[in-house]
Amino acid sequence: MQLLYRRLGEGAVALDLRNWQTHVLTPAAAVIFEALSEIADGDRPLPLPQALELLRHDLEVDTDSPEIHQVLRSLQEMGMLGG
Amino acid sequence: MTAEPLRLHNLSPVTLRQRLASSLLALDYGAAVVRVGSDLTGFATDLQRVYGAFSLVETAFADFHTQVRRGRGVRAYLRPQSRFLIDGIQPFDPFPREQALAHFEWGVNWCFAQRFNQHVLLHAGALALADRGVIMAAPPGSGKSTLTAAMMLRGFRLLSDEFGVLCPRSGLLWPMLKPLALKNRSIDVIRDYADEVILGPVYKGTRKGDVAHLAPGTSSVDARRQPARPQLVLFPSFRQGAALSTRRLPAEQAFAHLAFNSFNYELLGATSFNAVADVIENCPAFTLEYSRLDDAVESVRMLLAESTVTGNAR
Repeated sequence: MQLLYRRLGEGAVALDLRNWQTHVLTPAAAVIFEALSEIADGDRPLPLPQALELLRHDLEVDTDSPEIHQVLRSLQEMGMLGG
Repeated sequence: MTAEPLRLHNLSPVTLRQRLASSLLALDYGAAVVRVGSDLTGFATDLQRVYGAFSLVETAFADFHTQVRRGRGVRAYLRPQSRFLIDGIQPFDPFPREQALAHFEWGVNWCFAQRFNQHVLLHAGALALADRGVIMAAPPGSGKSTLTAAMMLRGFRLLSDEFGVLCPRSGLLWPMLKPLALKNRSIDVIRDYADEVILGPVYKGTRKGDVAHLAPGTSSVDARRQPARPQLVLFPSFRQGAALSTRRLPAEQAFAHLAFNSFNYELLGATSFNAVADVIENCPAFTLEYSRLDDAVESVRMLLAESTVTGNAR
């Protein structure tokens, strides 16, 4: 991942250094981002099934909710998640 | 004891016109110096009124070299015009000659927005009490300039109405002190707000409506080389009849409002990302809705006092 990440209060912001696009992360998205960062393998995108597994079992997140879909789409745009 | 500087309002009109005719007038805004030349008598008169507190600057260096010149050709006689030039290039269509000062002000703003990229240029007003800075960002028509003017007239130091000049290395706000452009109803509101108001002429029917410029006070002018440390971020909005209300904004939302309304955020990449994030990390951010100026000014004063103690991330 080529990202600059800054936690701001309960949310966060991230700058994608590949295209200088800025992403604004809600508090929920920031928690998920940080949890996935811990198991990510360097700059390589984390496979989506692995991410879903972590969210369901370790964080007990309902991965079928529209809000989490939106967060996952954002993380894919940022290059953090693979397909 | 320091000698009182020679200010523009001390110059005779003839001397000022001679300096302008020879392009020997430099205006020190704090973060930048602008040299200006002109052959327009009316421009010199208006300039002297709203820049009266500015001291004469003897400097060989200027960041920008501008001219405000009369129109050319037959048209110059039929409908007198003013032309704004930067480095000898005319970037805009001419304005009616009687609006030359407004033309100059917009021209200089354009120069800053286009070329002053060593700093992060927030689209925001900036004021301070001593070295404690307030950043006020809001879209046009929200009453930001009116509140900024009122704050200056109630003892805040004006750094800028239009450009929050944020140094990415130090994190400090630098003054970019220009006359404050008031529009439409806010002209009369501010004219009636305090005794010491110095307003330039009202330019009727410009591209932005009626416009008049409020002269910065002497204390703000004399402190234009003193940066301030950001302590508070505000997003003010005027609503007729509204009771004063403030609401703390989540930090990531404050970041988005501030960064995405900047003049050059996208141009500076990681530099501006980190600079704006540093501000938001260290400053609480609030929306502020108001209808009475004095209430709003006092509210800002209190929020600033509290923010000095608490900060955002602490």
